[in-house]
Amino acid sequence: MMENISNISNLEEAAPREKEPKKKRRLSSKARDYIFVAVMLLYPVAQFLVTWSFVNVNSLVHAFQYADIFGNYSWAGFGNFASAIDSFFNSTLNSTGVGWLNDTRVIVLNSLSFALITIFVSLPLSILFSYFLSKKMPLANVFRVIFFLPNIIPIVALTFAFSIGFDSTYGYLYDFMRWLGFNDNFFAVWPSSQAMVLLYCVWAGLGYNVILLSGAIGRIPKELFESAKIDKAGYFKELIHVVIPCIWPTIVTLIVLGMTNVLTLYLQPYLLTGGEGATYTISLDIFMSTASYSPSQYCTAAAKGLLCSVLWAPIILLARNLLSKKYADVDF
Amino acid sequence: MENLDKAYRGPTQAKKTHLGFAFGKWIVFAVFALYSASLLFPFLWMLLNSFKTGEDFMSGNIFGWPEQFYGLNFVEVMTYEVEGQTVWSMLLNSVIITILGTAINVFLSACAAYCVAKFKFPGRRLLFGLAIFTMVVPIVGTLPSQVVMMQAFGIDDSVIGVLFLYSGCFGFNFILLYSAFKNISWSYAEAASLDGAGRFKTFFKVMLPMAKGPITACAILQAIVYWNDYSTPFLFMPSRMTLAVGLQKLQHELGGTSGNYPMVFSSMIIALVPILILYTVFQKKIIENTNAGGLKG
Repeated sequence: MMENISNISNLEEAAPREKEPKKKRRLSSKARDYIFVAVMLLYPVAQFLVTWSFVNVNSLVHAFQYADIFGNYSWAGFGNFASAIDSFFNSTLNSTGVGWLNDTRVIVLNSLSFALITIFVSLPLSILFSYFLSKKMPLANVFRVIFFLPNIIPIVALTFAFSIGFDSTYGYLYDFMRWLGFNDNFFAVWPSSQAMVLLYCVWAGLGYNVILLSGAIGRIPKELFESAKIDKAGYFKELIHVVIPCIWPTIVTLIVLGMTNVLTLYLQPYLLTGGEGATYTISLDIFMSTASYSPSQYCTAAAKGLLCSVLWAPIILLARNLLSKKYADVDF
Repeated sequence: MENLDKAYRGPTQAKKTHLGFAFGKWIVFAVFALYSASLLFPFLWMLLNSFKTGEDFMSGNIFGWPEQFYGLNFVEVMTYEVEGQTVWSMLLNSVIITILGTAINVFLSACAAYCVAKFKFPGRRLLFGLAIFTMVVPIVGTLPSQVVMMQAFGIDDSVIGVLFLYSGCFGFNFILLYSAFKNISWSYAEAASLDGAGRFKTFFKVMLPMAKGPITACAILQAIVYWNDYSTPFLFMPSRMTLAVGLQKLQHELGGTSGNYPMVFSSMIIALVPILILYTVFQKKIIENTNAGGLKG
């Protein structure tokens, strides 16, 4: 028996002792979640922080700097802001031919006109269009598809298709314009040059609004329309008392977007007129300064941009808050 | 309900109102038809004229049929050079930028949206708030700084630079995919975890396929945006023009009184074809997605 035991003991000694399996240190579920999130968000957050902070900080610094043509920067204090304000009030450069304007004032006026035309022309038209599209209109879906076309067509092609119509040699609308009494130079001078750009914006911009508003109208409960019918409400009453209050949040969004146009719209005038006929806007002015790749222009552009944002952004936010209060309890 | 309504108003009044409504409807129909025609006509006109020879068009035949259908405009314009680049190379640049830009943007948006929608971690709300903030608040005047940044990183005038800008993913796609992932039940991830799948496998093999619909919709819309994008390639890739940028140069070079408009028209048609194919195939998805993206005020 003892022998056996010793044998066993010998055997145990002889056999290489199996190492006890090391306990794998497993990370907790929460830690693995954090690692996963960190890996997945590493690039998106880094890209955002780098571009956003660099661009905004650099822009802020540029606004308070002067630069020579070689890119040497020096401190300017509020000099760029002062000259921007001064050119608004005192500049004598005037390519409009209108006495009370100058080239800076017309830029501001043009920019503001995009908000006005969006809010007071495009938006009401879009509301009407979407309302009637919701009323079992024949070919409603075909219209919807066609109305949306300007949103998918390259803007260069769309502006060209529009402006070639007015060409004095080959324009498809030229004879019609002549018949209406417009002369060749009509769209070359302000304010008709600006009117053409605004007309383009209404023409091309309706579709997007119609799609958004149609979606909002589609979400209105059918019972509300039936109640309106029982109350003998016609199209007009139904639109004013049922539809508009119900789609108010979408309308507010479109008004806010229209107001942001003041600061952001530049491609339309750039591609339609190249800024000729005094059709510059605030952001076209900044875009042209950027496209010049000249450091001295970067500084003035940054100051103008900052000044306009500081003045206009609070107005947008205020308007949004005030408008949102009306029909605040409605949300479809 | 309609019969009751008619009975309540009496037959004559109901008939009158019905006629008035019907008349109003047809007026609106006519306005819609006119507006639709105004949108379609310029492109149909350009298509017709793109089959004319330069001489035929410039002789004043701007509305009639071509003397002979001249399809060579489409071939000639492809090899036409603007600032040392052919339309072929512009087309190729557009295809590369669109495919890569869309893939990168939508993939990164999906990664970020999935994390923010499904995991609790510090800063989650901040990221979502930042995405909304950057979409809503316009900050102008930063374009020059963007140029300075690209120069500082040494990626100005390059495809990589444009793709870097396109890779910013806290925007519209992020918001849309965030709500898509939010609506997918977490029990699928738990089931995958029971089967031994880790976080990455769950994301790639379970969650991404489940969000295929919204991801496809985002990709289509994003592809259209990048195909049409003018400003970014214009400012940050000037020596490699995309078709959107080149079209404008072509228009200036070939247009004008002595120019060859039919070739300009054919270049416009070439730029439109891929977009129109996408639109025709995915029209419902594009419109639905635009609708879903209509954030309320």
